[in-house]
Amino acid sequence: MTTIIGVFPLSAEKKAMVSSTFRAVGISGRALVISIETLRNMVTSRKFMLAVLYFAFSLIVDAFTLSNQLILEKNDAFAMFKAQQLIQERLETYWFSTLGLLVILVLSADLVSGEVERDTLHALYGKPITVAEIIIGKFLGTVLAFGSVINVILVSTFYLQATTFGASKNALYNTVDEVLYFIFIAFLVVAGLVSLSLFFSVITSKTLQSALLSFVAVIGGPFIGLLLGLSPKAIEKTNIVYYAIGALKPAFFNLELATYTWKWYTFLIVLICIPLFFLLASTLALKQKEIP
Amino acid sequence: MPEPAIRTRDLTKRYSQVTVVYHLTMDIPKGKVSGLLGPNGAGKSTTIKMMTGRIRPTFGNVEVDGLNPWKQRHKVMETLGYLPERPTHYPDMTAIRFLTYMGRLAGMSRSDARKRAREVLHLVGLGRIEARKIGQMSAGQKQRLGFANTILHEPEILILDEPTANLDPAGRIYVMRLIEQLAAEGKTIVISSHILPEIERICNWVAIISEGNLLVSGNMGALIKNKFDNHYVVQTNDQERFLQLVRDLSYVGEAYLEEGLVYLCVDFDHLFELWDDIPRIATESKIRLQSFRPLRDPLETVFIDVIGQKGREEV
Repeated sequence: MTTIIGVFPLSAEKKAMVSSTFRAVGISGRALVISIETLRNMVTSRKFMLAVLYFAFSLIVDAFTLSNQLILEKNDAFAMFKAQQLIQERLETYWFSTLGLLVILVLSADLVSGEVERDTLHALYGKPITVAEIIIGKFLGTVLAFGSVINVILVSTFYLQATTFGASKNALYNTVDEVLYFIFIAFLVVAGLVSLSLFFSVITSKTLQSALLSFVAVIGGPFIGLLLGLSPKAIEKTNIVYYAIGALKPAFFNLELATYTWKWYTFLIVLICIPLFFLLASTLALKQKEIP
Repeated sequence: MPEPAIRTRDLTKRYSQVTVVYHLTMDIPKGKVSGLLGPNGAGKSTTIKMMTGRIRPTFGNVEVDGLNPWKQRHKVMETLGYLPERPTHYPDMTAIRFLTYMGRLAGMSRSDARKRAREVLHLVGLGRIEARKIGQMSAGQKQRLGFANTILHEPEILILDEPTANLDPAGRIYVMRLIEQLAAEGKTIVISSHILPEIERICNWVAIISEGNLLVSGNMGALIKNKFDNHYVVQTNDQERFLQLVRDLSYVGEAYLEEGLVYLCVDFDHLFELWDDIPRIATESKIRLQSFRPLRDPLETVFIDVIGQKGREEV
């Protein structure tokens, strides 16, 4: 970051001020160093391998099903319809199903609480890094780890389905922007979940509590809704996947998403605001936290 | 008086109903080695944690180089290195990887961080086991690694909480030499320790804390000047005859022989006479005096005096 700021023709004082402002919100090389370390720790852990197996299982099942399926109709429009339909189904019922959410939330529950439990937060606090840099670093590393796995499987599923149903090369090229948008939205969902887990990890300092709380917060919405006597439509809005599917409307141009009444960008704004809110809350909570 | 490196004013820390540090006001001088002394539970570690921005003072304030550690911890840490009582590391990392990571967090480039990590590992005597996982290291090696991490980013102020804990005698001497080297470079060093002879040998300034209160603080020389112990240990070539002779001295309260050494306890008013009489008795009776020294170091005497005085006041 210092190198980038150094390019601009500013006085040394202003450069220091810009650099310190960026660091205060966690945008710096140090946050990147923490994120790389978090990513490395995450992908080399055994529990992450289990998560990969869980997410990859859907791809294995889809590949097996497709190889044994009788295909009667093969054309671009039908292939795209089937591919988008499968992605919607997998998002709702597998990758971000209750079990899928549980995998992400549990594995990211120890981001800060694990450091507190192992007493290793002292090592980070012993170096000149801001609280925001710790939060952003941990967040980015974890989002990158889960986001990459889910997206590799998502893209593979999409192209597997599309090619099996006879999508031409042109059709595949033309859908690259949609696929990139899928990837972006999947990253946003993972970011929302990780930021929530990170927040509970900061405030509880106990991994088990943090995992339980974040899971209850995510799946508890419908139950609370039922208890409060909310309508099914309102209850649906307590699920993050609802916003993901809503935001994917422009990419799901073949599907009719009748229940999603808002404009697609409204869903997108909600999806972007969730991680921002929890990251801010986590930073403020960690700033006020004493490390005895 | 020159600007202090660390300044505390009415520094207080309270946990629910228990006050751990009570209105602590002191100025730790810059460029000197300072010692924080006190019995277990005196509030030394809590004070240090407030100095390093780990915990927030309930009342009062602390400044490190003019900065508030709680509000500006990352800025304070640019010039401050802290060795906790039990340094913790990532057990799955190797020593070199851990220090390279820490160096990068201190703002060094990857190559600089690796180079500096090697340097400090050699400095603390862990150069040969740089590729060993931290989880497989002994407690003493972990302590040295913690020390290496503390000096990694070349801080001007070092706060060391029990730096020689977990170390064997050789390791203890090694680390004390390192501290002396750093002190010679003009760094401000604050040491909290129970080992009084170490503190006395290395520190220029000392503060004694008990139950969260500052009992005494000041330059080491001024504190231990004219502080004499009234217990002495004497070794001669004929201990039994020497014991008989010193027992005849009227002001000797207690004298006994234990494991080949003569122990004496005298009245404070006759200390100077004792210093004259011991060599005289030995010379006159043709006994060879091999050693004659106080049982306690001067700092230990000061420490026991002030802690004891506080206890008596409370009674």
